[in-house]
Amino acid sequence: MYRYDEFDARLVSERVEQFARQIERRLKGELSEDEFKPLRLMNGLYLQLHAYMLRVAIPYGTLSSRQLRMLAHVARRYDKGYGHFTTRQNIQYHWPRLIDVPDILRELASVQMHALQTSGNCIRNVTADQFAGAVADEIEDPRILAEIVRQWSSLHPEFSFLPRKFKIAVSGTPEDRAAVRFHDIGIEIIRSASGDTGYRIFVGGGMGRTPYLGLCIADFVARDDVLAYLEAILRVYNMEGRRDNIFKARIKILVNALGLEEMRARVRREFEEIRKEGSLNLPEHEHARIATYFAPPNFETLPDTCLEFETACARDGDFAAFSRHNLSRHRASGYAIVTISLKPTGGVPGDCSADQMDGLAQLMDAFGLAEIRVSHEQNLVLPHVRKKDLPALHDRLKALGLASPNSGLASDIICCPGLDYCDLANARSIPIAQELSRRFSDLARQEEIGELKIKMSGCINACGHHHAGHIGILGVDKKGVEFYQLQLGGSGAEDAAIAEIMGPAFAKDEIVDAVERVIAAYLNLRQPGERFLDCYRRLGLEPFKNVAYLEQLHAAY
Amino acid sequence: MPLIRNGGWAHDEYTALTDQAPLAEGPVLVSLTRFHSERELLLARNQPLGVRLSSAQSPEDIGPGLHHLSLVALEFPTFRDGRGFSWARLLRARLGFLGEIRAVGHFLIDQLAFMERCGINAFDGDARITPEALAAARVEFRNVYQPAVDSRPTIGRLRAKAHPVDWKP
Amino acid sequence: MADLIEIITANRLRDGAVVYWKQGGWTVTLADADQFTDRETCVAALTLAQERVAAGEVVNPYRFEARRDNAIAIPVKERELIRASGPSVHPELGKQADPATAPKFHVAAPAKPPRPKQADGPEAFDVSL
Ligand code: HEM
Ligand code: SF4
Repeated sequence: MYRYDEFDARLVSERVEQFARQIERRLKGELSEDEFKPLRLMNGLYLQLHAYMLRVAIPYGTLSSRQLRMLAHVARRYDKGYGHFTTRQNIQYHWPRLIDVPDILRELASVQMHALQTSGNCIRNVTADQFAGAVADEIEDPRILAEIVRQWSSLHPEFSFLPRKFKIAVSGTPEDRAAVRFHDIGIEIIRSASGDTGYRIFVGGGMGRTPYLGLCIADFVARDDVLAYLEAILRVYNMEGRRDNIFKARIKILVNALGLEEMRARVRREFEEIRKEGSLNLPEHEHARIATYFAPPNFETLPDTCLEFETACARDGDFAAFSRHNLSRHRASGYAIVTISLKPTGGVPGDCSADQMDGLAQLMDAFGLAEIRVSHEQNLVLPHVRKKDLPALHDRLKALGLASPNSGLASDIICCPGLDYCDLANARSIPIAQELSRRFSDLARQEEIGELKIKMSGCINACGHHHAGHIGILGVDKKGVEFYQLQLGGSGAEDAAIAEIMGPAFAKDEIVDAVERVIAAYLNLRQPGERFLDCYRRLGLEPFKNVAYLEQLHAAY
Repeated sequence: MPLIRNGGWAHDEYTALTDQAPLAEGPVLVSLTRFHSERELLLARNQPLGVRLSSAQSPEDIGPGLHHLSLVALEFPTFRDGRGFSWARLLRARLGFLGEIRAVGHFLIDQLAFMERCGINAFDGDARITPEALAAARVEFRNVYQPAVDSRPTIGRLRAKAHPVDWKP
Repeated sequence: MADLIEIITANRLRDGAVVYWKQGGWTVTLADADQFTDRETCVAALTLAQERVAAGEVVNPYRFEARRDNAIAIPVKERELIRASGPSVHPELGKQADPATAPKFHVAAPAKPPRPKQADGPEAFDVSL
């Protein structure tokens, strides 16, 4: 993985000290709260319902065991013993004190971690496929570009006061695990007909109150041009994006107002000018240098079938279930990608205790695993595990309470913090996720249902990706009481789609039942092998709507 | 307001004119509207001349005559409005403007280094914007990742110098 | 019968803790907060409270409404119930975890507190915040 050299390390430390001085100025009254707020946000510090919240970046979702231990240490020493992994490859601490934040950041900096640009109207932490470097059909490890973009975007002199936040995601495979079309800029690494690696660029995707799928603004941007092209998009956005209305300030609104053609023309013009200046040209040797950091480990030559693995599957039902759902195909024979679900039955999606983090770090060291990843689905991933190690690894995960065999199933729910923590929330989301997860806890039932992505947000900001859920749930507030809207048919994958709103919102004690009825209808209506999403696409909203509102109909008669 | 130019306190010799005010003697600073409507007259005076742009006005709108200006003032209505950073870069890098680029309005000491990197070389802000604050802002970060219009070498270039060509991590 | 009252709250600058206005200062316990029965006194106190922002004591003071039941203030909105208690999904965390700061009501159990009817409050009391 990437390791800071003296330049990166110094910059991060200088940023920590700058932020420490900003906190000091605020405490002394030299900065007003209005002035301080954007400055603290640019360093990932929010003020939530109960306390501050610090969002720490996990660049392109990759952590070493040493870094994971530090996250555990911060949780224990400065927080309340846990952290929350988010959909954008960050970890959030929900209880830090403002006066402790400089110390937290100094500790994080000691393991090359930071909170730079994890919030605020700047270019945010760049995200990437959590399976990077491990999947078979990858054209190039997306973390190479993500790291290049991280450096280019860190403390950018021109783009630190944008109209609104700006999120970039990179995927290196045709399969999309990074939700690229829901980002302000989504980058898909592709190979041209002549065999050159380059980038397809989507612009103007996003969630929030006006969800859009990103549109393809450039079919192929050559490798050495990519920073110039990104700078061109950002400049057009910085100059022309709306600043009069915070709800219309994202780049998606600009793209939509100008139209894709006009947007493309303006970006093109900036791009040509920037390219003429030449200083953003990315030299091949720089790309190659960064790439060496992400070189895959030396995989052993192993047979793909492995006796230890097969025996354990036959002997241990729990292990067999875990293997069915939480393993993905690795590019090297005899290896597997392991997804560690942070969605235990009735748990808080994405939460991880300090003890679990430490336990995982120990496990990584014991099995010689250099990296752990964080996924946008709020799970963790061990990218390179030898199949023969899986039974022992599973035992240890089990002991840590981290062996839920539900990756990709109904109880693998994405969920934002909602009204239990969030200052902007309209309704709680966690208790609904917990109830759903209990309702569907039976594995046989989940297996019968098959792949299902339930995603939930506590307000229109859509931090829980409800627009991209096969089933999306959105918390709304009706005169101080929590209600929940149901949406169907979204997807954050390569078949990206925005979910459709079903109708009036459900009360708190109705929503889980309504979801259950929708799923029951799917089981009745589906054709053999058809996923929920495909069934919905074939049949539309109507049949599901009819059953979802059944109770209300009965009540009306 | 006290003015900082090239790092130190400076006397502001420009008279800021409203669109209605009669032309004053000596250097004047006018709005883009007034510059457009009185371009010939203003340029013919052969005196230092400045144009003040709102944050919504691109320097490309100044049009012919830019190179006869000695000052372009960029308004920052609030420190959150970051358009001025792009306008300054356009002025220097694209339009080749060599005169003074002055930030006016509301901005924070935390933005001074970014402003300088984008080509702004004069500051007319609130009481906190002092030469001392500017000097401190300049050394807050020793290195930078991005090329901008200043001549600071980027970290990329420093790396190439610090390590042999075929350096590997 | 419950009265409608108002309470002033903010978050403390240095650590973010939820605090309530109490006799010219702040308390972390809702049960100890000043309970305002008339709008004018409350607005006057809020003006004082707002001066504490510049002083670096607190962030974003505002008023919220509560029902008073046997002298106990029970916030009307879910948001304030949760702020006064802690996350409903973590009863072991936040104010609710410490008898000294716990509110004198239970947030998790009555998930939907009965909404007071407008008529329950004093006539001239505009409860919209
Ligand atoms: C708890 C404190 C949080 C606050 C105050 C917060 C605030 C916001 C706001 C205001 C937006 C809408 C921005 C816009 O549309 O311009 C947003 C969007 C988003 N947030 Fe959060 N968020 C929080 C936590 C999270 C968490 C926990 C996650 C991940 C689970 C997350 C991930 C996202 C994502 C993916 C979006 C959608 C981005 C888009 O609109 O394209 N946030 N957040
Ligand atoms: S979706 Fe709304 S409630 Fe959920 S974390 Fe984002 S801002 Fe908060």
